[in-house]
Amino acid sequence: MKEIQIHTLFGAALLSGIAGILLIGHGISIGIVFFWLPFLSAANSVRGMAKYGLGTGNASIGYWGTAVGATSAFIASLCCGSTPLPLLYTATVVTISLVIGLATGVLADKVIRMKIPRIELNSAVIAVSTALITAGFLLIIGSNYCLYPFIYIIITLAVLHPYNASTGAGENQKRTLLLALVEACMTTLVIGIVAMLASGSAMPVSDDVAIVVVSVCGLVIAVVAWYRLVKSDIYDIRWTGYSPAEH
Amino acid sequence: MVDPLIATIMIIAGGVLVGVCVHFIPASATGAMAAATGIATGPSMLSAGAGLTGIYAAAYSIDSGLALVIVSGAVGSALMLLITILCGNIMLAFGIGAPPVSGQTASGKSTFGGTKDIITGFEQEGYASPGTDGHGMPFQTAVSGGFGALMGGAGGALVFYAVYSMTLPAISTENVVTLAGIVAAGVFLINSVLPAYVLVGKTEGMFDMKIRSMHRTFISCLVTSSIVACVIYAVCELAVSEVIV
Repeated sequence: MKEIQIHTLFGAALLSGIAGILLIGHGISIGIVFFWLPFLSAANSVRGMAKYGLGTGNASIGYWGTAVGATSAFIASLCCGSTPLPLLYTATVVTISLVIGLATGVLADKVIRMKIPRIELNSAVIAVSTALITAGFLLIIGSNYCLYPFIYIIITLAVLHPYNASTGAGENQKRTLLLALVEACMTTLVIGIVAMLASGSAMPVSDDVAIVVVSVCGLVIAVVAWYRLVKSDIYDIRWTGYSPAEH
Repeated sequence: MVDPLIATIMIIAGGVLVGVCVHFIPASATGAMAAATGIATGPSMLSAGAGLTGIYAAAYSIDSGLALVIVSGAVGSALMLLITILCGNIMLAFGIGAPPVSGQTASGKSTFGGTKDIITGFEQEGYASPGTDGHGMPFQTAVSGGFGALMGGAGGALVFYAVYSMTLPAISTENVVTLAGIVAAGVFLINSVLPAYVLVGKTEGMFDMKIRSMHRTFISCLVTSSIVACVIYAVCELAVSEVIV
């Protein structure tokens, strides 16, 4: 089956992420669904880098990419986080993460000389995608600094885990991305619950409830689709008595 | 508190220290099966763990001045790593009966040549199980790890203190510690993963031949940390000027 190209997925994720930030910036909280695509794009790039056996684990690459993206968003939130112009905030976050992500990728390729195809592109994609997600989550949770490490960890896990869980004989992009979608929905669900708890009001805020509801719907659909695909892929594998292999 | 420009230089220096420290910390994924010398995890993840412990330790002494913050970070990080090494050695020696032995030294391929531990003079050849590249963490490897963790912890603490100094005028004290901590952790993770490409998943520390590739790590981390430091400086200056206006 033909795979989705990195730049195609990234282009869609960039537009989707910007749309999500603009919607949330204007008070439409269900705009959080637009962050699912950046999750897919980042997980796809972790897959793109890790499948070449890059000398470090999926976990490292996930932490690395998210470190660039999330750190860019955290720093940008200092000067632009409270701005009434979400577009300015988005532009700052994307620019900073793109520059640092691209620079680390180029250095890994040219100076460290790890010859992984398109490492600089993948590195930039992970950085920008995670930066957009972080920026969006910061707009939902507000300037609650105690939650910064939590946001960082929850995004990292959803980005690095899909390929890690799907890797091995018979791994394919469709199943990895569907698992990424499952984890993206799970992450936005947790963010919705945390936003409810952090709001401090006796009754849950309707915006936060909307995030939870839309995330649960997405999660159910994604889990069912992923589980069907797993069963379908397992059907192709025949037990031979030898170590697991593709037949 | 330090001047923003000096803080920028501190972030660069801290980032480089963090990157270089990874070369000194013995780690190997196959160490989990006692098939190679080093702590049983990837070098980058182990260094990141040590660095984060350092930042955590440094945060407790943030009000005591720069020197104590650096010492606290370095000692916290080194303690974490040495305890890990000690526990790893106990597990390997008493759990599966594998003595700590340097694979590189046993095969005569260590930085200083010879088949003996450079510090204790213990013979390494003959103690490595057949088909393995050593196991556990012998004394020279543990010393290298401790040295690396001291550097990493000090680097993390430097970045932490620098970001703390730069952002303090813009936001309240309790929030600035969290922000500085997470930004320092971010800088740590960016710099600690870069050397993984040089180490290819395994190193025995300063007695491994891969230490000779350190210049590549140095240049990469210098450039990356410089870009990150400049961005932090610019953003913090903007944020502080907004607060003052």
